[in-house]
Amino acid sequence: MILFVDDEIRGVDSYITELHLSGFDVSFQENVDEALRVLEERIDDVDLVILDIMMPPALTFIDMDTQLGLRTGLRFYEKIRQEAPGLPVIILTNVVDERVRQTFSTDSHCSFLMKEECLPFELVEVVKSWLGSPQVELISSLEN
Amino acid sequence: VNEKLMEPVSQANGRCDVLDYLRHLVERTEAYIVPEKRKEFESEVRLILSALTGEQKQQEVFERIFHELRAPVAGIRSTASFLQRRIKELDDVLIQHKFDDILIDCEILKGQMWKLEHLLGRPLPISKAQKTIVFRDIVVKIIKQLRQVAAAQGFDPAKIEYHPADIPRIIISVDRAKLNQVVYNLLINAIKYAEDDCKSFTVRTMVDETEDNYMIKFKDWGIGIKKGLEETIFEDGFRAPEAINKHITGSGLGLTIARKIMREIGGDLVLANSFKPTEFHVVLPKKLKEVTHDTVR
Repeated sequence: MILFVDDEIRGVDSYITELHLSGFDVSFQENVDEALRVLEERIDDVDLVILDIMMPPALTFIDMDTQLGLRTGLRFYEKIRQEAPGLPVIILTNVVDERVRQTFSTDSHCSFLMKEECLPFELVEVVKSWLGSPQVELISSLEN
Repeated sequence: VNEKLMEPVSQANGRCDVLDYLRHLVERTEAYIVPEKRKEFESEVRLILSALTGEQKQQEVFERIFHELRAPVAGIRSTASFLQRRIKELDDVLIQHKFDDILIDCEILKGQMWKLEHLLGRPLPISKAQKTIVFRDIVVKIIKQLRQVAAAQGFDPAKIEYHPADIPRIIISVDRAKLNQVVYNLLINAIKYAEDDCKSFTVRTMVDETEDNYMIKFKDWGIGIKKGLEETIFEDGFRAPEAINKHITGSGLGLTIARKIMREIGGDLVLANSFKPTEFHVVLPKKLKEVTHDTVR
């Protein structure tokens, strides 16, 4: 399962639909509290995390340094690494601050993608590079 | 004296927040400076403080604005690419949904460009005023577009309510793109800042009339505006903490621009009620001003 964490479904809807059509099982979470709960309770089911950076800090990160939510994803990433050091993570964001990109540069299990440069099928290619191709395409799931 | 001044730094174990340090500095320095010099020193440090705060605030506002510029661009690109590759596999409803998404992103993008113009101190772009049936040409169109945004957030789209039978036919000559932006900003805010509980979600639009004005009223039952912030919400870059916690993106310029637009055309935007319902009134004079760049400047 892919855990997709982003606070705005509208901005990532096409990515999610493309992932579904390509046969991937996606759990979308728009609230970081809920996303963290999924990560902790279903850690064995999560094969990969796709993560935004600018998100409301919610209860989990309200007292941490998130720069008023501008960097909540960094704190979430740290939690992922505490729970699962080798879990593939794709950062999918509109944040262009080079310092943010640098944070992930030494992590060999992490890809950094800019939303405005990454089309849905390109995201799927990156996911496949981590997980391989799924066996069944789930086109029919969208017809419902 | 130096020891005393450096206390907050050492107390913070080397993690020195510049603003906090300077605030401590002001408090502590007062005790060590001769009274006649105190005022001058204090004002100088406060100036540094305000400049620092301003710069930080400015950076934050710029980062939010550029983030919001990239978001619709990314949205349009990804939706268009998705449609291009998958259109034969999709049903008509989903295709329509995707085209609506592109239109909404275009509207967002246009709004962001206006915010940038505003920040750069330029007048808002002006197109020719055209005869407009306000509800048919603007309000209803935007409501229809935004219903799917509400649905995506788990709300019942039918709860964005208007009753055509109760609405007078307002026909005015106006820069339609601008009035569009005002109505869009108000309605998207009502959706963005709704309560989490889907059952309480309601946005209601109605029209009232006085001798000189029409008033388009937008009511919602969302998180509302805290007491004391009724005017602050119209200031450049202001975002209430509860708004940030609800929706991280947002430059805090939407209401500023909306009010600016309404005042430019001789109307106004006012907050009539701040909580349950939150109620904004778009005041549309029956005789609108002709706006040119000269009058805007």
